[in-house]
Amino acid sequence: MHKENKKSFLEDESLTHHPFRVPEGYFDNFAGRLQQRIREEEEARVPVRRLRSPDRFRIAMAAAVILIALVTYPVIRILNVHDSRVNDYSDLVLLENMDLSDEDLYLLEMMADETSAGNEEDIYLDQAMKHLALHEVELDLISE
Amino acid sequence: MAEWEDREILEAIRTPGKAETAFNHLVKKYQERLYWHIRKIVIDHEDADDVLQNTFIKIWRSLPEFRSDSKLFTWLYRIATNEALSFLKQKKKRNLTPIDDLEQMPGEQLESDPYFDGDEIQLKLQQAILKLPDKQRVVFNMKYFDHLKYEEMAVILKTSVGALKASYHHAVRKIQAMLEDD
Repeated sequence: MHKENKKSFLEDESLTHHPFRVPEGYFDNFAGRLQQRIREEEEARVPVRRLRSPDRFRIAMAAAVILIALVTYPVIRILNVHDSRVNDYSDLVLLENMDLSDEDLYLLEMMADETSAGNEEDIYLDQAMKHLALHEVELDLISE
Repeated sequence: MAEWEDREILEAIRTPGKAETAFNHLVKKYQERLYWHIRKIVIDHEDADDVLQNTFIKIWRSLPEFRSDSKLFTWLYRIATNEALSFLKQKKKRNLTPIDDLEQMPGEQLESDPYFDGDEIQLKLQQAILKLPDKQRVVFNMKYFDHLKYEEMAVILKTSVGALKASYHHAVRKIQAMLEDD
């Protein structure tokens, strides 16, 4: 730089006018070009579909039902398992307290097996007949 | 087209059916000031044109949320500054050029720029300014060329007045040293 520039450049007022320029008519056309670009961008923008409130309500309800099902299902299962264990246990206690003979137990087992397969009433009668016959009850009395 | 007051522009922006006209007035009123502010940051005219358009698009989209308790001009200046600085950052990333090389580039480009009219001293001053870090350059430009008050700059750049004064004085010292070295 020249010697006179050794003083601060801040003292040279002419330097504060920046030396750039723009193409002819740039500012006259700028607003029009800008409006055009905004219009194009607005058209190109994909509208975002907002959920209407009834849709939102339905989705919330469905979510609530699913949540309730998820929470209650394991609880119900645990309770069911507990119930069946209690039932098995109570059957055993009942059998023990009834003071049944081996034959009675055999008869009960047979009845249990066959009730699952055929007509419940016929099987019961059949088994009852066998039991009475086994205990030598007279035929006339059996018929009655 | 008669120039509208900022208050008139803001009122019309919020009035259904008047928003586009109001925005047009805003563009006409501030386009030159914002352009020159951006141009001094990005230097190249085409880049300045892109950044100015992006700035006004952002302004158009954010205007309904503008709070009238801050000055419109300050808000516009802040958006323009942020856009220009982001543009420079992206440009540096895109070019994948070492930063030192990039700081040299715009200075060299100035000599062949058809829209640069400066003489030798102005060219040297611009080349020295371009060697400053981006944010320091913004502070220097706002004070030296645009004659903004530190208080206004503090609002625009969200920085304290003290930090701005220090930044400007550092910039002046660096530029002076660069000019004396030439």
